[in-house]
Amino acid sequence: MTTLDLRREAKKHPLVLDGLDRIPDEERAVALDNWRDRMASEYASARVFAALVPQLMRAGVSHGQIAKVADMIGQEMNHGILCARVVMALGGDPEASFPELRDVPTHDDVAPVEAVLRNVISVGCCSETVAVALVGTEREQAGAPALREVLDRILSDEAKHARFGWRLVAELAPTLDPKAKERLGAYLVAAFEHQISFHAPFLRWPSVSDRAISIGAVDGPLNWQIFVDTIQTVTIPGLERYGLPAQRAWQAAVASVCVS
Amino acid sequence: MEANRDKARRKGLRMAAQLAAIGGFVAASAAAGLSQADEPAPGAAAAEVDGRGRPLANAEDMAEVLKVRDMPTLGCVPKWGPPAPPEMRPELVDRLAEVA
Repeated sequence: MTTLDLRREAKKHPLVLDGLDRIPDEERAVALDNWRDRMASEYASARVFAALVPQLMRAGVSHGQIAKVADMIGQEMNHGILCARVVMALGGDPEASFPELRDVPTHDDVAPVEAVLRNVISVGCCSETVAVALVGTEREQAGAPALREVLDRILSDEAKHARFGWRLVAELAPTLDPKAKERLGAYLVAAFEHQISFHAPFLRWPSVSDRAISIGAVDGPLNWQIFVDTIQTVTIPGLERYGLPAQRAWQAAVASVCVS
Repeated sequence: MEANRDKARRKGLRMAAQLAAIGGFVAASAAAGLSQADEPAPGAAAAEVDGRGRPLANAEDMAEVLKVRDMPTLGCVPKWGPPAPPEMRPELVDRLAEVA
C-alpha cells in the first residue's frame, strides 16, 4: 500500500478553524478521519482525469475540452492539499494510505466516441454531479468561515467537472445511432450499480450531530438520501433527454444490487 | 436540526440540477421532486426487486435492503473521488432489454 504524505504542502499554508474548542474530542476525531480519507481519495482521483485525456483525443474532442480536463488533474490534487490543511487544523497528520488505484477502462469494444462517453457519464454525470449535491449541502452546514472557503473552492471545481460531463453528453450523444444509444444504456446499468456500491458505505455510517457536521463529519443517512435524490431527479432525467434509457438502466441496477 | 439539514440538502440538489439543465428541464424536475420529499422523484418508476412486488425506488427502501447485504467497497471513500468508472459487461445488454 502506498502512502500519501502531504505534510509539507499543508504546512506551507496552515489553516485556522475558529470554534474548535467547542467541539468534543470524539466528534473532532470523526471529522478528522473523514478529512484524512477524503484527502487521499481526492488526490487519487487525479489519475481518473489523466486517463480521460488520451480517450478524448481519440474521440476527436476539441482542444478546449481536452485542456479543461487536463486542468482537472491539478484541481483534484489541490483538493487533496486543501483537505490536508483541514486535517492539520483538526490536529492530525495529513498522511494516509492511497485507496486502491483501479485503472480507468478504455472500452476498446466500441468506437472512441462511445467509449469516452461511457467514462464521462460515469465521472461527470454521475460521480461529480452527486459530489456537487453533497458538497453543496456540506458547505451550507459548515461552521468556520475558513472551512466554508475550502468547501467553496472544492465545490467550484466539482461543478466544473460535472458541467463538462453534461456538455460533452449534449454534444456527442446526438451523434450516436440508435444501436449505440441502446449499448450505452446497457453500460448505464454498470455505471449505476457502481454508483450504488460506491455510496453504500453511507448506510453503515451513523447520523451525527450538527456540531460534528459543521466541521466535516459525514452524516450517513443524510448523504445516502442526497445520493439517491440526485441520481433520480438529476442524472436520470438529464440522460433521458438525450435518448439514453437511463430510467430502465436504473431499474435494472437497483434490481441487481437489491435482490436479497 | 432536521429543518436545517433539509434546507441544506435542497440547496445542494438544486446546484446539481442546474449543472445538468440546459434549458431548465432537469432543474424543474429536481425542484418538483424536492417539494415532495416522501414521494418518488418525477419519472422515477419503482423497481420490483424482491419477488414480492415490493417497490424499491426510494432511498429508504433501498437502504433497508442494502443494509442486510455485504456490498463490496470500491477502495475509495464514498462521496469523494471520482472513482474509476466500471467496465462494461456483455450480459447487461440483455438485462436492460428485460426491463423494457
